[in-house]
Amino acid sequence: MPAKRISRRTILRGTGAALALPWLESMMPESMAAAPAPASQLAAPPLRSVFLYMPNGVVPEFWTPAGDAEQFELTPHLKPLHDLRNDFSLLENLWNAKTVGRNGHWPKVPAWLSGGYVERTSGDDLDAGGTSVDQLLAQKLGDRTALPSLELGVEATRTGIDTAGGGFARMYGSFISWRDPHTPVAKEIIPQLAFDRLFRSNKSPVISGLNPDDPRLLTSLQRDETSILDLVRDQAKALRKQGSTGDRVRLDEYFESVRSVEQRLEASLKPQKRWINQGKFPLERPGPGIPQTRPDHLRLMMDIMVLALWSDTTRIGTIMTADAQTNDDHTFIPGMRGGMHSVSHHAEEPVRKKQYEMCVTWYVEQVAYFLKRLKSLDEGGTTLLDNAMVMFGCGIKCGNLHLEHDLPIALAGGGKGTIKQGRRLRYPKETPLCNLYLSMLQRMGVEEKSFGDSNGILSNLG
Amino acid sequence: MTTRSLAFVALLIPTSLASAQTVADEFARTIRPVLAQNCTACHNPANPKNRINFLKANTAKDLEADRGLWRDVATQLRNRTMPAGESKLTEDDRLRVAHYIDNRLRLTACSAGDFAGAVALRRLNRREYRNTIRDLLGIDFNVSEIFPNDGTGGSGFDTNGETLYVPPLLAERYLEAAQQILDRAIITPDLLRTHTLEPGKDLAILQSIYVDTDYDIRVAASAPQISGKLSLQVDDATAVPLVNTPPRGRGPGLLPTFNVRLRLARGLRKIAVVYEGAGPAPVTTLTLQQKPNPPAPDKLAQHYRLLGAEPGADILQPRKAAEQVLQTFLRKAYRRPVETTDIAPFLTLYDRAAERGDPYEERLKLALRAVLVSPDFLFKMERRNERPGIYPVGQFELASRLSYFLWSTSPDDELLTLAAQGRLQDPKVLAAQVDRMLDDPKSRTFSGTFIGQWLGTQDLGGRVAPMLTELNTFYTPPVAADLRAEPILIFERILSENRSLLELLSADYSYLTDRLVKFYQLEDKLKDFHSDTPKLTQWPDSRRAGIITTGAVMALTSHYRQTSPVIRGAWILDTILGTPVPPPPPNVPALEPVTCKDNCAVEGKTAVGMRNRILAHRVNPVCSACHNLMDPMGFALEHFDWTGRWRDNEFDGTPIDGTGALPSGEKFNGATELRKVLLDKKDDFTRQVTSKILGYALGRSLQDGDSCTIQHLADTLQKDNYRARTLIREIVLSTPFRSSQGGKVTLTTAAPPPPRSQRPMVVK
Repeated sequence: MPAKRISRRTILRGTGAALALPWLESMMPESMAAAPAPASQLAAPPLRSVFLYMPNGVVPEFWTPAGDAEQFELTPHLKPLHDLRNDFSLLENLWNAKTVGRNGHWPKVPAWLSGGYVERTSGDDLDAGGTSVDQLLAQKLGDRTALPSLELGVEATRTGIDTAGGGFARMYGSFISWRDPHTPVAKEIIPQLAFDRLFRSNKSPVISGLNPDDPRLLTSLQRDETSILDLVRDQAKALRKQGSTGDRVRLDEYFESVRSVEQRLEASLKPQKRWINQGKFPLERPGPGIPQTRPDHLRLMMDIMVLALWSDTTRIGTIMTADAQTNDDHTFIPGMRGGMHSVSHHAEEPVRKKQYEMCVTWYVEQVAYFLKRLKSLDEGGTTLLDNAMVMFGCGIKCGNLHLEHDLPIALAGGGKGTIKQGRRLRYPKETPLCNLYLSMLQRMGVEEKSFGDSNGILSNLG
Repeated sequence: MTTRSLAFVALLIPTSLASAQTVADEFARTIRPVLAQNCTACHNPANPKNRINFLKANTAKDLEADRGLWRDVATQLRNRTMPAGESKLTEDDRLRVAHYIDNRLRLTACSAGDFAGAVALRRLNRREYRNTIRDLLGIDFNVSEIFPNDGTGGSGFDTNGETLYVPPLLAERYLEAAQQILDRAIITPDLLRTHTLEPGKDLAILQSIYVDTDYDIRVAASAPQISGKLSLQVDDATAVPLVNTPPRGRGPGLLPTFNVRLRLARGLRKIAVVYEGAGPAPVTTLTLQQKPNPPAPDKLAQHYRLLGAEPGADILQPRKAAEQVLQTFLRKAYRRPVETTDIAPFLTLYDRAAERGDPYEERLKLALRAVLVSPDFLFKMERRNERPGIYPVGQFELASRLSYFLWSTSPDDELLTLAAQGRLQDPKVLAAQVDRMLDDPKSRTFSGTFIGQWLGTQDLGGRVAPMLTELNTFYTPPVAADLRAEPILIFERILSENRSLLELLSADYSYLTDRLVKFYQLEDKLKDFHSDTPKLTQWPDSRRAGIITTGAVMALTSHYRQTSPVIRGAWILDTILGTPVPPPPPNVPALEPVTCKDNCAVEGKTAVGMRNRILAHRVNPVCSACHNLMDPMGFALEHFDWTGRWRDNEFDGTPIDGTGALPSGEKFNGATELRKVLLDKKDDFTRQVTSKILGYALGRSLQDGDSCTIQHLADTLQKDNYRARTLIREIVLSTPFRSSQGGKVTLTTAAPPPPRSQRPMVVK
């Protein structure tokens, strides 16, 4: 099938072929039916929050500009952000105090968005020390969109225990999103599944002209899943009564998992006020499997995230541009040999350090790609980037020495006019990174007194 | 009992129970003082606020009073979590005390009494789900495309209940997978349906579409000529024009139809005729006809096996028939007998579909879809006893434990029948079943998974030793696949022919293909070799033997373009002998960076020999305690390069020096002599293989209470010449496999967390 464009309306309505996209596309003409009733439409674009995780730290002197002025020269790592000069700011001297020591990578990953103290465990009692900020947002605001949040990545969950690294389960390195301190949120790494997820969640059982409570709809094929879920939930309840404590934990997880599908089905019945972007989004449904090269894979996942935000399918997202300690082949970067983690421990050897620097800069290029996509999309006179907050960076400063101070953190996007970008903001040494999250929570409309180990907000963002 | 532990431990601790008295003296004389000196500040037994009172122990005997606590002391020392902060504890002492405690606890393992342990409720992992679906429905469904991958933990396997989480995403995927699977297994008859249209009224009809495919939609006209425009609208998509098709044949009364072919997706669809013209629409009926797609014979057979009827067959008492189908299906899906109360909820779904007029096949699909999402199918349910004690697991639960252990799938009819007869707890019956199951090709999934996850070789060609374009002249995906298969096939042979497990260390054979012969550069020595598939082959020389020197293991214990004697040594200690060394202490100064002379820019060139760089470890006592154990073993394997091929020289032309010596005095040169040293440590190795297979089988972290079982199994194995089937049989007959612990079970791990040192630390 030749490349096709999917109309925004197609996504919104879902129509008869929500999962059957290829032929749906061929059925969908250029101009779609009239816009939905104004009652279900937001008057202004909503604010979105996205968190982009980069692996293995940076070369400190190539990230942090010299001097301490608010205006700064772009350092080698930041060069790819040249065209976005006034769309992002460096936030300096932030850190996660509870991640200091113990291991260079693992505890720094779940804590990146939660600020929590990550327990050392071989896996039977994972504890990330807190709920991550994206998941808190999803819990507070997720019912406003078809998907509460979207978690994407490119690497399969790590397995095994890093005994040599202090006895941490390696899977810690694969999750920045935690629904609660014990439950990591699985990230999607297969483009087609991620893509279909946007559509499936929009599959509206409501057929135009019929009341949602019409018996013909209640008994329709579209509502079968609700009946199935009711049934298995009752079974899980009954089993839970018989089970031991350990069993209950798993059955509760199962129960929660079932519940989350139900909530989405329910939400799809309720008219939600949504932001409607007119026009078409240039992205075809990805083929099955994982794209052959890492750059293609990552960019595709980024495109899917952009689509999710643009279509207002979700307002909260995380992308792990790679998992912590990634040592996958990075030879797609010209001049690079082998995996990134190996060269991140360059021991100041020039050739390896150069390769490491190229890797980090490559990741910043990908961030730039994402930001440019957001900036290119118009939302009634503003851009999608204007209506977003995109935080990006790492949980360690220096890949060679695993330094925890002054994390490489940047914030892009206008935050709907609440953030003055293009600056370098230097905070007092050892300012909690969670202060940034508290500031973002407030902008998103979530009133929390504190978050993680925050001791205030970042005052001068605006 | 003879227990030769790591040689350096042997130097310090007499290794037979006969000298238990000396061991006790050892504790009072040289172990407790170290602990007292380093731990009293926080763990003073005289302080009433201190609740962690291991220092109350004065003799070795006292360790048995609180085995769990002491297990913890050893683990914390080894993991470097204690002593906290700045500590004067020397590395030698850290290692010595941890080993002493481990050894002491092992020697007295059976003093704590019987132990069965409690297995966390386990869901089917991806492999088990796929195999179970295959056996249940005859469908090979590729789950890796839809389910997130499973975490591993406990003994390092994906059978471990503690890490088989149910992420929020999973229920959604289970629903989706069930639909896709049943759409493949059950054939819904082609749709052909005519609706009467009432011109002047709403020209829309509602129709359930079951299969995503093309439909011919024909609207019959009520007049020979139509002036206006007819089009068709599905749900609220834009209308598509209907094409006027003249009637076939000639004669009065023949009227045209207006046709279009559309793809429709599953669900209730609103299909409306749109007429743009004067007066009521000149139409009478609307017919939907599904594009015929005759099913393949094997698919028909599969459908028949499941439903006992052909697709679309007229069934006299459909609800009764459905009940029958559900009864049979549920018994296999739930892996236990089912009651009427088990079936009833699913029949309500059948009724739901029946009431809206779905065909019989669709009604069953809906009921079966719920079965495939129900907790009884997805979890390996076991009843718990709340009262403390050890209880035999139920017959059907045992059947599932057995089949998921050896087959990674649900019990077959024979196992279910034996369970129904109440005969599965009979040791003779169990032993016979183990043999039958190991003879079945389904047991290959056990060999493949166990070896791949134990050794870590499953990731070769992916996360480990990835396929790099610069290597594609000799290291291609098929080569990587052959390399992954090699250790698996060696293990499979040992298992199927009931050979000695020591062959894992010493086998003078392997399974080669043309590709591997080329990879290993053996074309000259194996001139007559021709095989596209792995073939049992005698090694032409003694360079390689067993699993350690396979290309897969040698590659996974290397860095990019650089072997790592450290990782290889650590890997042998962890993976093969089960005696891991602690992680490197924090803030270790990096080894002196490679002095860059003139050749530094050359890729992969090490300016000074690898051996010299690593020998720098020995200078610093913080490093030498462990590196004296790891590095020599790694040196002996230096003849294998970072991809696993043989080499005579290093990159810079330095001839390989394969000599090494352990602190305990064993000296060796090269892999062949190292092999002898490892075979001398066969008790460690035996215990390690035993713990690993036991951990895989039980699906939980091994705990202190399992030490007795492990030692007993290892002893039995040794007495029977290390025969593989003896071990599998004895594991199945063991208390933890056949029973479960009631009441609250305290969890303490039996051994330091299992290491899977793929790339644990970087040599700087």
